Amino acid sequence: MKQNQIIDENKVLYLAGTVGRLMLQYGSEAYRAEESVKKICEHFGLESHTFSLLSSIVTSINNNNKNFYTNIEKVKSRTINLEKISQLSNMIRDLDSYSIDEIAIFVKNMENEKDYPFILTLIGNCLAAGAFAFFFNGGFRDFISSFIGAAFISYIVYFSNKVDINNFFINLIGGTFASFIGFIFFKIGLITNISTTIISILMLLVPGITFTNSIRDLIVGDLVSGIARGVEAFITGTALALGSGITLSILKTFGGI
Amino acid sequence: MKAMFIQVISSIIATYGFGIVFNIKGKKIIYASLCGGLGWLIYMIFNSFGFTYLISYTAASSAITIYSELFARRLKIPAIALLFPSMIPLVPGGGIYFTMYYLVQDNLSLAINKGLETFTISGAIAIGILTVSTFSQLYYFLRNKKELQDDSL
Repeated sequence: MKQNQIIDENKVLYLAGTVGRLMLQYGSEAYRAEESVKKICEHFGLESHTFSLLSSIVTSINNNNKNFYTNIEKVKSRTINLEKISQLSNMIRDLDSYSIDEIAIFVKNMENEKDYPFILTLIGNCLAAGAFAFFFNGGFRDFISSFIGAAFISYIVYFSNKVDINNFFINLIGGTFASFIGFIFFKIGLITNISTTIISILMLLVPGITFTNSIRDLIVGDLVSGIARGVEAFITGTALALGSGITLSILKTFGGI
Repeated sequence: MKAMFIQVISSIIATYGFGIVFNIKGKKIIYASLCGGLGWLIYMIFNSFGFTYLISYTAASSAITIYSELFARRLKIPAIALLFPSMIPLVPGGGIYFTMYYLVQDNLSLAINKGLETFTISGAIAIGILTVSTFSQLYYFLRNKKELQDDSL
């Protein structure tokens, strides 16, 4: 970056904020998003201060004339998309080879790039759930029931995300259906142990990674986002357990199991 | 021995499945799923030697972090792209579920048991990851500094 080149602060701020928001949206840690924003601002010769929560990122920059600019980006939905995080990090690692317009084009192209289609994600979910059936000492029959159950669950979650139901209810529905599917397979006599199937299917929804990352954030010192992540994990866990627990107790009361 | 083999294979497949869900593309997904298998293998080896589960989990998470840091440099991706999916077999997802499940079922003592276990396992994994990543940062920092000094000479 040449020193005497005139920079549009608003443009840089907008771009840095967008990159930070995308990072959070694709499931990166808070410190990574903050660092990316800082690096972009530094690259264009602006002093910046960033503060990122799990659901928003605040950036403030000031130029040599002591004019301050601030940008707040809100993150609406969060998924884990490691391919896009990798692309963004690689872009930030060699910022020197990009001009400001090229970064804007790169971000736009990356955003429009297609993920795996839904059918492949569904197969991935089925494979994972099937493998977990063996993992929890199940047999081949448990594998089949988990495989089929996972297909239903991932379709339900996909559909609920599409119609924009909130996270708690998605997990509540997921837990309910996991128990119900296990019960159906139990009734038709495919499996003898209902809990292996239920837990294998629910492994797709349980927030293990979120919880571990929350502890990690807490140890590093990102206290706010650590606590936020931990609470998120416990709310998800509660929703799943409520859904499957209530369904199981209803089925038990009616003498199903 | 046979049970160990089955569990390692199934954790590789589970990691592969989650790799698709997390949208990892190309040959990276193969490296990631091997990493998932490695983590569970280390855990089981430590466990069979009679270490407590805390130490076993710390060792396993250190192993997958070392693997991820090494291959992330080679594949030119951030380490979390390999670390996230390979954590899947280790993380106590079932623990969080069972904690809440026992609470719903009104079984308080089991819930507390399971909850504490989940918490310690997560802590053990987090400490394993952090230790290795801190030391790798330190290593690369010192190496870069040395290179800079060599250049200036």
